[in-house]
Amino acid sequence: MRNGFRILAWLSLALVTPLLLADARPGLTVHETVLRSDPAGNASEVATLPAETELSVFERLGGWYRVQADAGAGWLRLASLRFPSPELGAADSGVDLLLNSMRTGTYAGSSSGTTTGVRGLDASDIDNASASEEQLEKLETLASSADAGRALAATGKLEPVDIAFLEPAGQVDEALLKQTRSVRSQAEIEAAEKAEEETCYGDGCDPDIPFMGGD
Amino acid sequence: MRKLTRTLALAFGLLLGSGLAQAFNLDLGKLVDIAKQASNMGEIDEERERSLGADMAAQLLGAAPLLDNPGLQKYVNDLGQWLALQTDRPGLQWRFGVLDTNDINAFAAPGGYVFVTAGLIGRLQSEAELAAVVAHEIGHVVRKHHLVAIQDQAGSNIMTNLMSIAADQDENSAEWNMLIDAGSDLYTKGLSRDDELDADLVGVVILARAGYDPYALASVLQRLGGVNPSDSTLALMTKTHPAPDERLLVLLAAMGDQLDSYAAQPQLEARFRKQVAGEG
Repeated sequence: MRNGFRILAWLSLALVTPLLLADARPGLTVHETVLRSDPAGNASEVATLPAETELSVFERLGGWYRVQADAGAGWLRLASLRFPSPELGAADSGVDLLLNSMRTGTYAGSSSGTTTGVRGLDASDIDNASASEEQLEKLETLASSADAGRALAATGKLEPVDIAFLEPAGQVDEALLKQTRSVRSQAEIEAAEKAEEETCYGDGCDPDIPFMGGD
Repeated sequence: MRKLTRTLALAFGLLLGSGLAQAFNLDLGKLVDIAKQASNMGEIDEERERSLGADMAAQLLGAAPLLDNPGLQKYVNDLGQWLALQTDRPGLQWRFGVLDTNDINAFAAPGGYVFVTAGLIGRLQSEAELAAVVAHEIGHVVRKHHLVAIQDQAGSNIMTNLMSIAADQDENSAEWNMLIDAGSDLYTKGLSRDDELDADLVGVVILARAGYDPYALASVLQRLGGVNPSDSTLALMTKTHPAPDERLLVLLAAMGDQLDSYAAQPQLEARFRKQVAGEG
């Protein structure tokens, strides 16, 4: 009987896990922080995680993330973790696929064939551009209305609320900012070392990838 | 002697003035009249603000055209309209556009123009996050950050009130084009740090007022902080904005727990994914 439950549990986990894994991202604690059982400051403590603890980050609920660490599963405050930078380009394949689908209007998923190339927008692109009246007119044709906005809100069950604007809190916590910036995952350290090794000067280098704008 | 000096100074001033007037094809009498008018940014009327914004938008669109995806454009326009209703400038002719570039960025122009790049949308995970980005840009418009920055830039110019001069100018004039150039420069040089932090604080409240989870803005900033800093698609944004981790801490400090009671408001991940993936 107990085995039956266990199989059932594994089965349901197997069904749910792909969905959860799709959203799991590597994270890193910025400082020593308390892992809690629920997304609330008064929830019970699961563990105290030291700074630079690597963990898997799942969904966010307000100012809290659900995480899985070696020490256990629970919830961490948003500001107590950061997402380490992936190796350059490593995490971009998903974004490229999505951009491709945004351009073609259909999502081809991983079976997508050719991508439509990288189109950048740097300062010189803006400085050297000529004003496009044609694009401005196109923008006008896309104009929506307040009623269409209300309709979108209604189908999303968005309820407007009356809230006053915030006052600035004064100086940023420099110590916390410094701490956030100094924390590096092992993967980041290795990526930085690799990038350093691969840096080359002069003739031995590949030329820069040229801009491939336009269709 | 003193009289002579004064006369000379006056003559020189007149000479300089008339030379300048000639150089810029200005009517001196008109200049004086305009100078007598109140000299703050409130002077530019909505119609002129919009014309200036339209010309700045056209410049930006010349560099990055609109994404050819009517469904997604409509989604962003409807969303933007809903957010704009939560401000004290709901009556502007708000226009929202998704720009076809891999770059991660968003822009605003006076009069109600807001743009988000496809590259940034591709990094987002929910409608609330998209709303957070759009609300930040709406914040720039309702606070008139660009108008004030253009005025500040003009302040170091001999024509200390370029905007009020412009209010009386033909839109093909050299003065008008100077304004557009000053405005477009803001896209490559950036607004002030304070303006960006202010737009975060205004944006997060617009976001919460519109019924979204306000922590979506913090989430976007945190994710941007995790993009590889040497990623070229982030270069212009990095150059023109305070670092995402700094913005995050300033935002969270100002929020405190004031918006926590709205933290359970919808994020709408599923609807966002459908719209972005073209299944909407």
